[in-house]
Amino acid sequence: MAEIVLIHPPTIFNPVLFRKKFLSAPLVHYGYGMLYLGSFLIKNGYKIKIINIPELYQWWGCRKELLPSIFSGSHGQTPILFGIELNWMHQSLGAIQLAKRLKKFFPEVFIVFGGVHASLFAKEILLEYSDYVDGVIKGESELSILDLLRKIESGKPPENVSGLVWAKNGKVIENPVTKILENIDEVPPYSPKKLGINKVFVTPAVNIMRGPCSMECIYCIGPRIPYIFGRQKIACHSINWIIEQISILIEEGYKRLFFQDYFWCIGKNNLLKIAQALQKEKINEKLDYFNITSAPGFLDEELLEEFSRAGVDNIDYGVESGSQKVLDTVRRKVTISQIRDSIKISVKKGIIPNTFWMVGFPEETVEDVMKTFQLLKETIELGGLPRWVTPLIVVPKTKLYEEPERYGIKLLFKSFRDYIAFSNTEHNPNAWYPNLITHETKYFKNYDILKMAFILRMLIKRSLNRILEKARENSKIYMKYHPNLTLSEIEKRITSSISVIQGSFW
Amino acid sequence: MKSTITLKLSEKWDILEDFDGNYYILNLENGDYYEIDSMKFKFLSLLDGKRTLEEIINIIAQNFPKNKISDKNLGDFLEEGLIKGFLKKCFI
Repeated sequence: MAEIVLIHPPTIFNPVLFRKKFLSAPLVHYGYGMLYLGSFLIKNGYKIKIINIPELYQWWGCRKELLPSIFSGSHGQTPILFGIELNWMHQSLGAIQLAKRLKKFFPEVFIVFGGVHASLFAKEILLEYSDYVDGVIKGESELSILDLLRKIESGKPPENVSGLVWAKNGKVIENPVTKILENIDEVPPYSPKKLGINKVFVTPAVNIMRGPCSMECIYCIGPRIPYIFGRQKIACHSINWIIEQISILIEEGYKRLFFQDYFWCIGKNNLLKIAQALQKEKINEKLDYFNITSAPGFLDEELLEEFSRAGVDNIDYGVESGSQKVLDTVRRKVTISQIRDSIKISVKKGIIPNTFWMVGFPEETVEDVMKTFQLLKETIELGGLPRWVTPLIVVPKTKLYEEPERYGIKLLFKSFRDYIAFSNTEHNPNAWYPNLITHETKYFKNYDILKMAFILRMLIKRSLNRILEKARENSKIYMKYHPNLTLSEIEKRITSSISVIQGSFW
Repeated sequence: MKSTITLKLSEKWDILEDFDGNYYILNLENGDYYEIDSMKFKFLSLLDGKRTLEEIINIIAQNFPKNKISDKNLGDFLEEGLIKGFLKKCFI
């Protein structure tokens, strides 16, 4: 049986340097795209080995360079393909260094990159690194990789492989995306054990849907999915598939889960069906932690009630800014009153509302940051738990990146090489990274953006006691909906979250 | 001509006031910071390398009539600033 090795790379491919470099979530955390790809390939008759290099470095105490034998298949077999996950920008350098090393030891094996960041810079990666990167698959990779494997097995060049960017005689060829799974249930739910992941990893995510976000935020890749990755419309997994996925994870010992995609865009009826199916399965009795994400204003009182009864005990709200002018400028279709209401209703329905904030938006002034400061205080009084303050990072291929002049910003980061700074910047306990500010605005230079983020973080740090007081006030409601949740667990979550806020860049 | 030693804020440090009247002195190179009170904030904002300490103390006394600046407190603060590096000596 042909074997494929899928690898989650470190930020930097060196165990000693890795410990000193820029630390952020998710270092050890797998992108679930790779797990679903592995599951799909097993279904199609391939043997899969998954390697998590940060885990080897961090938790297994590896201090020396990894031996080539680590990357061999089972029984020392040479794999037919290495798939390297390049989902997040901070994996850039590690992914490239890993590919270089693999090519040295396994020159005949095809090395392909996949994931969001790789997709955004596919052509550039091939132009610069085709000596050791053989291809990048843009967007969803299941059908593409299956075609690619068949070409490799029959000794043919990867012509017409959907979405593959590759090099031929020094020229980069961009195959168009021609194949997208119609029925995404064809990808089986993943079983960490079947993928060879025996150690329970942080918090697994469950895929609910694929396709574009229904918002139009100019700084986010979500609305750009049709143009970059080829999927034009939202596709959802069936209820049975979702329940099967969650059941597998619970059976394998996972007690924490989250939904991290744009699942809140799939429409109220679909959401209600999911929540009710989870209730039927008594998922709330089997989990210690269940997190979902939503833009404020999308989940109404009825939905929050149903999801709370289904076991969801905390929700991430991307509040972003307290200035309506800023929200309108970046085309985030959320109002300040929706933000307040979402937090109030979440608390009322027993769900702890986590809030996420940003600074460095186009047109944002000190007065706008003051509004964010005031709203942050207000949300704390409503029961919100502020989790992160981050300088806005201009993500490649977003509207903001494509049209900086239109939005009055100056890009400081443009190329794949520029974004490598996210891999090799040394960790700073104050999250003070002037070299990682991706842009300047009409009103803020890079140091101004950092100072504004500092002011908001200090507000959160100073508010710890008040946040705890509010949580104690609301704890009866939380515990009524979630019998497994205790006051000490709620307090532990809050204190651990606030304690890292000072050093969290994103 | 006789020169006088005074102090100014080091270039790699800045002072910052938030929207609730909290004050900080912030290292722009590494993000280290110290929380300070409004009087120290005013004091640091007046340290431009041109005013003498005596001039600054007079301005502070006018701005904060209820808070007396003791020589010891001022001396400790200036010493702390020089050790931590947010103050530097200069000559006028």
